[in-house]
Amino acid sequence: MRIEQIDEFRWRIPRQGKMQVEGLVFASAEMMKEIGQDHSLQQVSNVAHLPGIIGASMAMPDIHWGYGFPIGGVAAMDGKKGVVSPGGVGYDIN
Amino acid sequence: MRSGLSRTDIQPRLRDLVTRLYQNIPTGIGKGRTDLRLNRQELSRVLGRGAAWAVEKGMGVSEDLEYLEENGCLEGARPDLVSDKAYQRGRNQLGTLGSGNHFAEIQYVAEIYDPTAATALGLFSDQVTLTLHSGSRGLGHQVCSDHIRIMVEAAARYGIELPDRQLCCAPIQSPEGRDYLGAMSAAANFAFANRQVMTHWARESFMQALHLGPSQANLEVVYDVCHNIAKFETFEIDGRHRRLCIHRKGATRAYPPFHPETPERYREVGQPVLIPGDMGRYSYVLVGTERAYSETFGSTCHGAGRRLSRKQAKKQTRGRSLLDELEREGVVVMAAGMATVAEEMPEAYKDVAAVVDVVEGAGISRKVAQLKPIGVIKG
Amino acid sequence: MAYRFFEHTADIGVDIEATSFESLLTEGLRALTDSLTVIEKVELGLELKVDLEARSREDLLVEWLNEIVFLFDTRAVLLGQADLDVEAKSDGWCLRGTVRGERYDPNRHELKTLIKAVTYHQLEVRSSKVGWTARVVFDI
Repeated sequence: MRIEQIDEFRWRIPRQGKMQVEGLVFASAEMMKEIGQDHSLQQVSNVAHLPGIIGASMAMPDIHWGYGFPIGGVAAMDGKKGVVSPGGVGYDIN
Repeated sequence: MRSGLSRTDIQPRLRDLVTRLYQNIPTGIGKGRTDLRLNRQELSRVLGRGAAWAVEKGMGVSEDLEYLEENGCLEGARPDLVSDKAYQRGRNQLGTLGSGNHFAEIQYVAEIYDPTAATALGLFSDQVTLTLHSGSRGLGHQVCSDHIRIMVEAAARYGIELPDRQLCCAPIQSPEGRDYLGAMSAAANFAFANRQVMTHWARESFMQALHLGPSQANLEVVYDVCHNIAKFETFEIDGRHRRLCIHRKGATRAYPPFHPETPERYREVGQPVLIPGDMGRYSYVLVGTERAYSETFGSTCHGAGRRLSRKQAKKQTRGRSLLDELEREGVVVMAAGMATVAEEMPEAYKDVAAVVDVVEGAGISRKVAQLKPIGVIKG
Repeated sequence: MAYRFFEHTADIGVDIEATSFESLLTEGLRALTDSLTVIEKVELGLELKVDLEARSREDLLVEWLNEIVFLFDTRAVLLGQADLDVEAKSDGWCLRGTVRGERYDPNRHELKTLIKAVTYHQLEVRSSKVGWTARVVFDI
């Protein structure tokens, strides 16, 4: 997967394939090494495929692998044309 | 929650205080307290009203609600769409902490980074604080399971291609989407009510253990945030107000100063955000920023994240007495199961300070204070 | 018949192998109980009926294990054995049978890891040379 560094704490996963938006990860260079070891960046890119996603599929520095959406993931969906996903919330609701 | 007490005020009675908390707040698989048994109708009210239900029952004061995200109640909750199974799981679980990474922690303010913001948040050096971390319990787990099952089928029907089945979803405006949002919001309200009930019992624990009146302990809610939620929020994008469904999974809302949803008291500093760390090190209080609003839909991190699997953690604790180790570090821990303590030991988590430094460095939150644990109860 | 745990950082997965689909489900139950408590200490005096339906074998496995989670959460029963019958229907699969175990007793049953839910993540059910194999992940 292609990952571009934007600044000290921001990393971009450029749009590719059917991604609707790009991925945006907040992390330090050191954290990125660790984050790259599980499939959570792939999950950030997977979320970017969902219909109606706005802005970017984002991940906070505590990102780790989750079911469907990564834990530490943020996604904004268009209120009319977007989708809602239980995997985007998780089992521990609220 | 902040208190009117300093660390030295409670230190001599710390063990009693932790014991009281542990007695008053059921943890682990323990059912809820027998003085809080709900029939289906009452539980349905909890799901509709959230934290306000508890306040109406005398558990808390109406001022508490001002300091809860969404005032402790999501509009659009549909208790009637919550399954019978979820009701059954929730019936005896209101006012229970749960297990795993859930906890109640007594802390003190160890460091202040931003004195102005700390004053606005009512925080001062060495002050005793209390953090509760718990959610919608089995009721919420069941709501999630029920709707994943429905959405796996629905996504295919709506022709949504999924790179991963667990990413299942449905259009927000579809019957499946609306049903999920209604049931999930009801589960979120259960979580708000759950923490409100435990807030009340935490206050009682302080009064009992320290022989104080309510105004002396003076436990006030600083803020209560969600971190596993999807809800409608309005953002200005390219000069246009748009209603978006924001999914935050292990992420926290972090609204900026002067946002209408930021409580009046914090208007000039921004919405408080609580970032729990592991039980041996520290947690953080942050505030939201303008940059978070414009860049991350008003969101920031949630916590530390695991470093070791539970099994690895248990392996590393073999032959060690974690409780003694923590006590030597000045942390009194009481837990329903020793397995949980091992799985949740400090080394099992990443250093939350590194996480917080990134969100501050990126400008999507600002550090206000660091809290250090002195008493913990766990499931 | 056997099961073997594998672990991610934040959850437990299990690989199950059995000679029939019914015993695959029973092994799944045993794996789940084994992660909850010391399974050898679970006595089998209590009997409950189960009756479930699902569209596919995969869904049936998840439904079934989630039913066990539900029974523990609502009635505090630990289950160690099952007698099950799975039948094909026009629109899926139907499971009927009895499960055996006992009520959780904090004095006798050490609790290991509580399970919140059984997920669809990496879910796999396959027929194999031995009979059936499956992979399933528990959220904890």
